[in-house]
Order: sequence, then C-alpha cells, then structure tokens
Amino acid sequence: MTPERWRQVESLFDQVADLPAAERGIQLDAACSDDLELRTEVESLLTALAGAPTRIHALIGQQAEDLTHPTMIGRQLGRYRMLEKLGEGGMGVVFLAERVDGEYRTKVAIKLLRGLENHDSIARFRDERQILARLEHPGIVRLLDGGSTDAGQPYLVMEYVAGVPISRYVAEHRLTLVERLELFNRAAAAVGFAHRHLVVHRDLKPSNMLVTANGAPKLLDFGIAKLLAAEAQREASTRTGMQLLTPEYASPEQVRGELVSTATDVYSLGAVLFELCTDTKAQPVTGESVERILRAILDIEPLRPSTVAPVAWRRALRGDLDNIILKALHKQPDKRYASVEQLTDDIERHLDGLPVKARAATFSYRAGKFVRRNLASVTAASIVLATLTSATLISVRQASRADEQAANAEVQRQLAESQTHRAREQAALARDALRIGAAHQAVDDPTRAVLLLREIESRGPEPAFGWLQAVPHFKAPAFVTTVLLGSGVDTQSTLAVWSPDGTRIATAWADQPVQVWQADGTLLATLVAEGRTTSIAWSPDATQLATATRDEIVRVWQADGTPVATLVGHPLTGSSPSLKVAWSPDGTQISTTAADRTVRLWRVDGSLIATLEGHPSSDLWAIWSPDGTRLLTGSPWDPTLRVWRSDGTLSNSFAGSGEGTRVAAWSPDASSIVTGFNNASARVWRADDGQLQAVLDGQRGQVWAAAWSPDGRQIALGSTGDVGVWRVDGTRLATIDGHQAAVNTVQWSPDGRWIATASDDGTARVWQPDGKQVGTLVGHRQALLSVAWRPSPPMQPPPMQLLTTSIDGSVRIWQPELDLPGKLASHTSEISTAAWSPDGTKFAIAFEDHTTRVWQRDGTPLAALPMGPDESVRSLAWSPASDLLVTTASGAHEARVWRADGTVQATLAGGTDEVLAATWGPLGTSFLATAHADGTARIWQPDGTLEATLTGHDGAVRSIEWSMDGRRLLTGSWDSTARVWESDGTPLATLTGHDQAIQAAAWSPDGTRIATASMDHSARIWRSDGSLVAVLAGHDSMESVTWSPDSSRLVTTSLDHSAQIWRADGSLLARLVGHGGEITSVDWTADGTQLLTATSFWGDAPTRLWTADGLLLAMIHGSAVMSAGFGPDDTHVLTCTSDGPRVWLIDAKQLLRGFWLSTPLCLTALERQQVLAEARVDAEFGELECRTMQACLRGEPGAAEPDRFPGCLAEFHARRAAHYF
Amino acid sequence: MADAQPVTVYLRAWQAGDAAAFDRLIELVHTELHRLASARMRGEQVGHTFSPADLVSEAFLRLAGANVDWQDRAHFFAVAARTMRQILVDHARAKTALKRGGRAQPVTLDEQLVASGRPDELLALDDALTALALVDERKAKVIELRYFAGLEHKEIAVAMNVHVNTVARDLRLGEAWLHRHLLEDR
Repeated sequence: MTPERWRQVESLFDQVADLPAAERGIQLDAACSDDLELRTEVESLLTALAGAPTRIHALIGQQAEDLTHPTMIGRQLGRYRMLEKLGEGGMGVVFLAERVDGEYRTKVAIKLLRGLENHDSIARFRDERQILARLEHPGIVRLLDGGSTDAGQPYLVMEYVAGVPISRYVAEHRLTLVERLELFNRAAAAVGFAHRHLVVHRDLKPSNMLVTANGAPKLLDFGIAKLLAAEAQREASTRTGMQLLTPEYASPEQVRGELVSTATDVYSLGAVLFELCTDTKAQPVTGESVERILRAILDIEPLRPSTVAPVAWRRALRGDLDNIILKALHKQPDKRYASVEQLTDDIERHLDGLPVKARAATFSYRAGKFVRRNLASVTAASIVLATLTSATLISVRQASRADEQAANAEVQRQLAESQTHRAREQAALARDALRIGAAHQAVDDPTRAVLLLREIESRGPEPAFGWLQAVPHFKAPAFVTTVLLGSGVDTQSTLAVWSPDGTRIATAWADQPVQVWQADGTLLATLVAEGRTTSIAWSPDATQLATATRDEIVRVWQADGTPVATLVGHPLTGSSPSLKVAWSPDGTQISTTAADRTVRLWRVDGSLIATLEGHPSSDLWAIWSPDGTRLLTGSPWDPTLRVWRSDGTLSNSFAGSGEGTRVAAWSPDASSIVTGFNNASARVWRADDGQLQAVLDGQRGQVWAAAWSPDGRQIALGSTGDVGVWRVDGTRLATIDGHQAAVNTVQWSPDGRWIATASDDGTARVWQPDGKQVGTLVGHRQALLSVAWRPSPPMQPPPMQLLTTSIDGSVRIWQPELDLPGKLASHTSEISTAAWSPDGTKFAIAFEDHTTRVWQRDGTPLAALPMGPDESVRSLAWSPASDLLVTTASGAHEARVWRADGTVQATLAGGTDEVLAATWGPLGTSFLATAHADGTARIWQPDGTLEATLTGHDGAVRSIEWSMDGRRLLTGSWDSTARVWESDGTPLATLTGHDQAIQAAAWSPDGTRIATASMDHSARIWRSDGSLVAVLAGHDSMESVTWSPDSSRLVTTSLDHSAQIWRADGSLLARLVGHGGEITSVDWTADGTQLLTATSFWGDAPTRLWTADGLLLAMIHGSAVMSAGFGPDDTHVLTCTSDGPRVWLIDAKQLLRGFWLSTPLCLTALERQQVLAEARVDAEFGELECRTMQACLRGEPGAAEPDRFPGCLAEFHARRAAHYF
Repeated sequence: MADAQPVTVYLRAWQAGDAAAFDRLIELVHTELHRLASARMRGEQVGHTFSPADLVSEAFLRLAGANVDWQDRAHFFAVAARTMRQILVDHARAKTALKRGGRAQPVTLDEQLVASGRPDELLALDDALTALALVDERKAKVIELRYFAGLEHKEIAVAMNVHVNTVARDLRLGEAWLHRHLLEDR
C-alpha cells in the first residue's frame, strides 16, 4: 500500500468511524464511488474495530501475567519439589511434584489455592483438610497432605492421577449404555462414600470425575469448593464475591445460595448421568445471558433424556432411565433421591430388570409459584454475574469501595447470618450423612455411631444442632456383636477358635492364658500356662485342646483346663512366634510346625511319631487332609509342596509355583489341593500325584486366603485386591468387591450358602457366592485376623454366627440382627388392622379386601370371619380370655362379637351413627364397651345384652377404654372433653381443657392417671378425678397415647411423624424421630423395657425398636406398616405391611444386650443432654449408669462367673428405678 | 537516587544523537524490567498479577526516580514500551517452543483449567505490529506506548509530540488494523 493510498484509507476511516453504523454505508458510497478496493479496505477495518482494544489488552495482559506469575517450579514445599505446572483454574494453580525425602519417588499433584488470605480462612481450611484427608476410597483422589507456603498460601497435596474426564472416556472408548451406567455407578459409589463421611463434593462434573486408563473412576476435589465458597461468602459484601459454580451441573439451591446438602451432589450426578446417557448436557449453557442461564438452572425442566439421546439409545432410555435421571435432577432437593445409594440402587435395579423406584414426575409443582419464588430469591441475593462462560468460574463483583460504611454493617449482619447458615448446613449434613448411614452398614456399629456423632459435634459452632436429630437415624447393624471379649489392647496375637461342635470358643490374647468360653460369653475355664500363646487347636470331639506357646512347648488339656500332656521336642530356637499346632481330623495325632524347619507328628499322649524335614524355610505351615490320612506342608518362601502320610513318610512332593505358597486348602473329599501364591494366582492340584488340574489366574493381588465350598465344587480366593469365586476347573464365577484392603480369610458357611471374609480394612463381611453382599460386621477398630462360622451341632440347622479376631485385641461373636421373617404366604391383600390375642397364641388380621382372618402364631390359619362385601374393618379387639373377638367396621352402626372359629356370637347394635371403637373389659371381666359417632357410648355383655348407655358428650366418642380394675370407663370425644364413668354408666368426672377434639384417651395401667391426646397439639395427663397433672406440648396434632406397663412413662404420637416419651410427671424424656411418616402403632414390651413404633410410610425401616429411654435398638426393614405389635412374650413382633403380615422373632433382651455389648463407649452427660434432650441431672446419671453397666459387663478378666448379663441388667434397672422414683 | 543519574544521562545523550546511549538505555531498562518480572515470579502471592504498565512504572521509578522532566519521562517510556514488548515476545516464543518440543502432558486434574497466556497469539500480535509500523510507524508507536507501557492518551501525546486527538484517532485505526490482522490470522 502506498503512503498516498494509506492516507486515503485513514482519512475515510476517521471520517466514517464516528458515524452511526446506519449512516456509514451512505458516506462510504459517496466517498468511494467505484473504488471498490478502498471501500473493502475501510469496511474491513470498521468491522475489526469492534472489540479491538479489549482483545489486544487481553493478549498482552495474559502474556504479562504469565511472565510475572509466581513460579513454583523447582521450589520445595514441605516434602515435595515442584516439577511442572499442570494447569490453572478458578481454584488456583496445580503443579506436578515429587517427594524429596527419598522414601519413595512418588509423583503427586499439588494445588495452590487462591483466595484464602487471612488467618481465619486458613484455620478453617486446616480443619476441613483434616476431614478431607480421611476420605480414603479407591474412587477418590486422595488428599495426602497440605500446608501453607511461607507466605501463607495454602496448598493441598493430592494423589497424582492420569485420567480423562468421564464424559470423554465413555466417548473415546465407545462404551455401551450399560457400560456407561455401570461406570457411572462406580463413580457415584465414591460420592456415596464421601457423603457417609460428611463430605459433600459441591462441584461434581465430568472434569472432576476422571477415569484412569484401566477404567477405574477417580473423583477429584472433594469438598474443595466448600473451602472456597466459605471464603467467598465471607468476602461477599466487602469487595469481591465469588461463586464457584459450574452452570451446567449446578443445582438450583446452589444458584439461590441456599443450603447445600448431599442432594446437591445427587443433582450434579444426575446432570452427569444425563450427559453420559445422551451425549447432551442436561442444562446447556449458552453463554449469552445470565438471565437465561439462571432460568435454565432454576426453572427449565430438563428434557426427557430419551428425546435427546442418540437414536439408537432412545428406546433403552425411555421409561425407567428417563425417570431415574429426572428424579435425580428434580428442582426441589427433597424430591430427588434421598441418597446417592438410592440413585445407584435404582440404576442397578434397572440393569437387573427390576422395577425402579423412580416414577414419572408429576409436574403440577411446575406452575408459576415455584418459579416465582426462585426468581425472587435470586433477586434478593442480588447475584450479579459479570462474566459467564462454560468454564468453571462465575465471578461476581459487587459493592464498590464507596459503599464501605454501609457495607460494614452489612458484613456484621452477614457474618451472623453465615454462622447460622453454617450451623444449619452442618445440621443438614449430619442428618444427611446419618440418613445415608442408616441405609448403609458403615455406621452400623454403636461404637462407630458414637464416634461419628462426636466428630459431627466437634465440627460445628453449635454442637447441639446436628446432634438432636441424629441418634434415631442409626440403623441397627445387620450383624450385631453378641459377645465381646479381649484385652482391648492392640495385639497381633489375638486368637479365638470355635470348638468343632460349635458350643464353645477358646481364646488367647496378649499374655493372657488360653480361656474357654461358652458361645454366650460365659467363661468356662482358664488353661494356666506360662508364655504367650501362639496357636490353639481343638480335638475333633471337642473334649480336648492343644496349645502352643512362645517358649516352644505344646500342651494338651481337657476342655475344663486339666493338663493332659506336654509335647516337648522341638529344639529351642529362642523365642519362636511361629510354633503352630494342628489336630488330625481323626483325633489320634497332633502336628506341630516350628522355626527349626521341622514338622513333627505326635500322639496325643505326648510321644513323638515322626519328624518331617526337608523344607528350607523356618516359616512353615501344615494342613491335615479332611480324612486325616495325610498332611500337606509348605512355606511362603519355598516352592515345594510335600504330602506326608500319617506315619510321617513322604507320600509325594511337587513344585508349586514361583517363590512359595502362601496358603493352601484340601478339597472336602481330600482328592485335591488348592494353593495360593504371591503372584495373584492359585492352582488346583491332584493330591495323589501332584498333577496340576487348573490355574485360577486373575485375582487383583497376592492370594492370601483360599477355601473350598462344602460341596467341593467351588473355591473362594481372598487376595490383597479382591475376592474371587471360582469353579474348580478355573472358571471365574463371581468377584466379590467391597473390602477396602487385603482379604486375609475366606470361609464358606457350613451349609455352603454364604461366604465370610475378613479383611485388613477392619471389617468382616458376609456374601452370597454370587458376589452379593449380605452384611458387614463392623465394630473392630483394627485389621481383622480371622473370621469363622460357628460350626453346626450335628443334625441341626447351622446357626448364622461368626467369630472374629482382630489386632485391636478383641474377639467378637456376631449374629444377624434379626431372624429372617416368616412370611404368611397365603394372603396378600393390604391390611387395615391386626391384633394379637392376649395369650399370644394367635392373631387376627383385617384386610382391605373385606376379609378378616385368624392365624396361629406359627402362621397356621385358624379361621376366616365372613364379613360383608362392603364391610371394612376399623378395629379388632380380643377378649381377655382370648376366645372372642370384637370388630367394628367403617360406616357400620353396630359392632360384632366373633368366636375364634369365625362364627358370630352377638351383634352390638344401638346408636344412630357409626361405631368408632369397641373395647373389652380387663382380664377377669366379661363385658365390653362401644364408642359411637353420635356422641354416646354403650356397655354390653358379650352375648349382646345392652347394660348401659352413656350420654353427655356433644361430639363423636372417638376412644373408649376400661380402667385396669374394670370399675371405670374412660371416653374421649371430639367435643374436646374426656369423661370418666362408673361401670354402670354413672358419670364421674369431665376432663375439660383441650381446645380441640380428643383423638385418644388412655388409663395408666395402675389406674391413677389418664392421658389424653388432642388435635390442639397437646397431650394432657390427669388424675382419675379429672384434675390436671401436666400439659405435654407437641408440635402438631397428637394422635395417640400409650402408657408403659408400669405406668411410669407415656408415649404420644404426633402428626409431625414423631413420637415422644414422657415421664408420668409430664417431663419429656425423649423424642423418637426418624420415621418418614405418621406413626401408626406404638407398643411396649410387657416388661416395659422396650417399645416399638411403626409407620405406614413407605421407606427405610418402618418398624423400630427403642429402649424405654428412647435409644434406638433395632430397625425392621420392609414395606409400610399398618399395624405392629409385640407378641405377649416379647419375643415375637407381628407387622402388618402392605405386602402381607410377617412375624419376626426378636429377642428384645438379646438386642439390648447386643447394644450394650457392642460398644465400649458411653455417651457423655453433655452428649446425652444434646442428643437425648435429657435434663442435666438425668444425663449425668445416664452416663454414670452406662459406665457402670459397661464395667459390670466387662468384669474382671479371668474371673469365672456365670453369664454376667442378667445380673448387670438387674443392677442397671435397680439403679434406674432408684434414680427416677 | 544514585542510579537515577545514568538513565537521564543516557536519555539526554540519545536525544543528542548518541546511538550508543540508546543501546545502553535499552540494556538498562531491559535488565530492570527483567529483574522486576523475575521478582514477581519468585513472589508467592499466587493470584496477584502485574500488567505491563505496572512493571514499566516501577522500572521508571527505580531507574529514573520521580524528579525527571516530562521530556525525559516521555522518552524513557518510549524505550520501556519497546523493551517490554520485546520481553513479552521472547517469553511467548520460549513458551511455544516448550510446548511444541515438550512431551504431551497427560490430561489430569481439571480439564477446564485455563491455559495461561496465549503465546501464539501474542506472537501474531507482534507480527501485526511490525507490519503496521511499515505502513504507519506513528500508529505502531502509539499502540506500543498505550499497550506495552500503559500510557494514557495525554501522556502519549506528550511523548509523541502530537495532539491528543491525533492519539485517539491513531489508536482507533491502529487497533482496528491489528485486530483485523489477528482475525485474518486465525
């Protein structure tokens, strides 16, 4: 371009650039006429004018920023040297680094966090970091360390993971829909794990969900968003508010600045799942307008995935998956899945072809109201979004410095608010976590429960907050510890062995002598010997024991502790921890292996048969064949396996594999041997000639445990990585995945139905052979050493009991929480009501299909009562003698008296309206009473003779009850009064005071008190003369009152889904919360030590058992419960559920005992005040009595005394009675 | 302000036609800017960044001190702007070389981490600025002063000895020209 031409361009440009765009064209036309080149030149410059300064500024600015950006490369932070910068984002800069302290050259990622610049934040950051560091899960990128730079900049050290975002992974690997769902579930499981540890991610998105090259999901940045959000909140009103949100995955509550909970993560997971299933974002962000983005998040329902997915998948997505994803993406947190587990369960159910729980949403709530509310709150929070791209960061700037003064006041207010907010959030988190915990076995154990509560407590500024709701959410364990023995001091040498008949166990720990116990924990004998015990073996007939001690002496004892023989012969090699003893299955021989590289065979009298030599290693093992004819020996350090005859001659030897054999097991028929090696494989050999039969290859780690199924067809292998179930031919049948650390023991249950595993992760678990987990034994504080099924006594069904030992120094016996329910299969209609007969032999159930049936306790049908086709039974009541039944029905003006065989004895007709209730007099009387909607009540003989009509109430009589002595009658009415009557119908007293209808009225069993429950949100306690004792204030309409058998306590239920336990003086003892719906049944055990509650709400554990103090003992899972009650002997519970009645065998005392025994911890007085809402004096007493009980139960070690429990319990109750009365 | 002396001396000598003085001046400013940038890099306040203008002002205060007359000041900034540009270009060049030569990084951590700086684009900008100087040297200089030294319009007018309105016009056309270049370049 010539200078002349350029001047031309410049001049025209200057002239035109000032003009409004519309006029430019005219001016250009005029100036250029036919000079098209000039026009093009100027026009292109005009076009480029827009945005030019910004662009140039940005370019130079970025480069300068990079130039002056502090570099950490090569610098050392703590034990790490920074190697290179991996990237940079809203949260800070990430570096690759390596450890420099020489131990390992581990590569780590270090994240330097921005935006935490004062001491408060850093202190809080430290606290949070502690919590995050405890998140150890294979699916979570571990937080290894953290600290602050010299300049105070906080940083996090994390596991370095090479992986790609989950969305990219599924695309690159072309995963099928099913594979995607499975991958998603595995990733989500890590989120569930974090939730159980009270950590919410808050920023889940594909880029935080990596998948490694071998397909393992790894989640990043747990809880980090929170660290920054808290900071942003603190700063919000001063200068820069920053909200870390990823619009595509952010939930409505996050945008609104409301409480973040686990539901927030469920939402984000839903958005990710949507994307994985459709290759489309659930809430696409256009980047143009903040308004539109907010609207997308708050207001616009995501499309049904099946309508946007690739065509090939639409069919598969339609229905269940649509519903599942949309349920997770519900705008209202409480309408989403209550936990990540529920989401993944539903996906699993879908994959298994089972019906899912998500149903097509009803969209009624979408109407304007919800939307308006959302937008209003957004405006109120005055969130001004300055920039918004699809990137991570929405930066919010507001409030100029000029407003500083006004802002200061605002800061104070917001600080206060944020504290409340934080407390609320913590409470919400705690509730979430515990609710999830309830559905999961991680917090099954009372010990862990107490610890978890303490952890929650320590986190919040208002400890009481999270606590109050917390305790009742615990799910009682699937397995409970029924016996807890041990030193409680960590030791590797904890031993416990079942006697072969399953009646006793022999134990040894630390330097304690061997002790023999009954399976219920009663000490039978102590085998006094010097030295630490290294091995115990029972004789096959369970009459004798062989023990080995560190001083290399093997002793034989009678089970009662009488010494029988001493086996001395191994040359003393000093202190040998490895002396092992084994009894031959035929009971005639004992084998010993010692550090002197020999195996010796002995007769039981102590004489030596043979010394087996040949293995070069001092670490030997020897296993008898099940038929007792041969002994297999080997060593982890020596590849050779040797089979010996029982006379000590070598039968054959063969080379195992590689460096050595860690574990081996004989097949039940003694024909084969399975051996496990350090190289992640196992082999099956023919025992006779050592011929290799199969290679079981593909465990994820060294094989540490091997066991044959009782039928000899399958082998279970435990490894440092997983557990595999194999066919003998080497086909892998199932993988058992769930332990968080090496599995060191596997054992099949005697009937072959279950597999038990013990792991270094501190749990034992029970599985089906197909890999499905049955239950977890949680309670040991440290790695387990062993798990063993209780052997079944001959000819008896195997008891499902397990014995575990742990390096925490304890030995536990476990059993399933509840026996499996015996379902009454013959009838499946919904149940309206049910009742046990007072003698406990039978029960009656009224079904919604207008039939009423009577059953024996064992489920044998006794009779069907012929009800009318429209007759829907409202109430059922057995006569005191258990021979007659009275029923009332909806709409019926009469009640009917039935014989147990189903014939009608009498019809109680009278009154002008429906009969609302019918009740029998107490034991020893033979009359009954009816309550009528017309305001009357009537007294009858069982043959139908009317004795009296009670008139006076102005409204329907809702409840009617006899006093225990049968001399007075109590009625409660919708006229807001209750009345007391003589048994002949003479009015005695009127109880006035309630403002609204009385729903229930009940005599205390001792006849001195009356309790009433009213719609006016209160219950009242009265003396029988009608004078008021106390008003029990509730939160919602009170629906029922139930006295404890000893009249000392009262349980009320309320429409707010809670029940309350009150003392007879009206003071509140405990609130039973946790039920998801209205409580339909309350029942006390006859001894008044426990009660049950049941709800018709469909959800987790509708039936719950509590102590009389309101401590949750157990939950019975199943469908909604219409009615539930204890059988009269307190050992059976009948639940009537939407899918049929069930009888549960519950030994309530056993449960109570299990509870006390399975935790060595007591709630402190302060905790009791907070958790149980106890008064201080009661809380202090409660702590004391718990400690006393624990001490009593533990007793003095070695003291042989009968079962301590009854004595301790009696003492416990005596103290309690002395305290309260 | 012992070290303030040489700068003014060189500035004057340069004005008087001493080419060697100009080289010394460039060297001096370059060294100082580099020193300042490195000091920033050693700093630990991650999140604090510095604009070229910040650096140049600081270099000016350090080298020349506050008591410098407006002409010297203008000339200093002209030199500093050029130097700053050169430093950034060198840095960008080093970065792109590193990226091309370096091994492929595994994708880790956060996919959405923003790559810091865009060295390729800065080099493109530098090319465009060089091209602009061939067409209209004054506009290229104005841009340099504005963007690499952070001078305001009035300051540029003084430094270039033109009217402030001219500066505004020069900037406008220069920016459009560069931007067009960058857009075409893509």
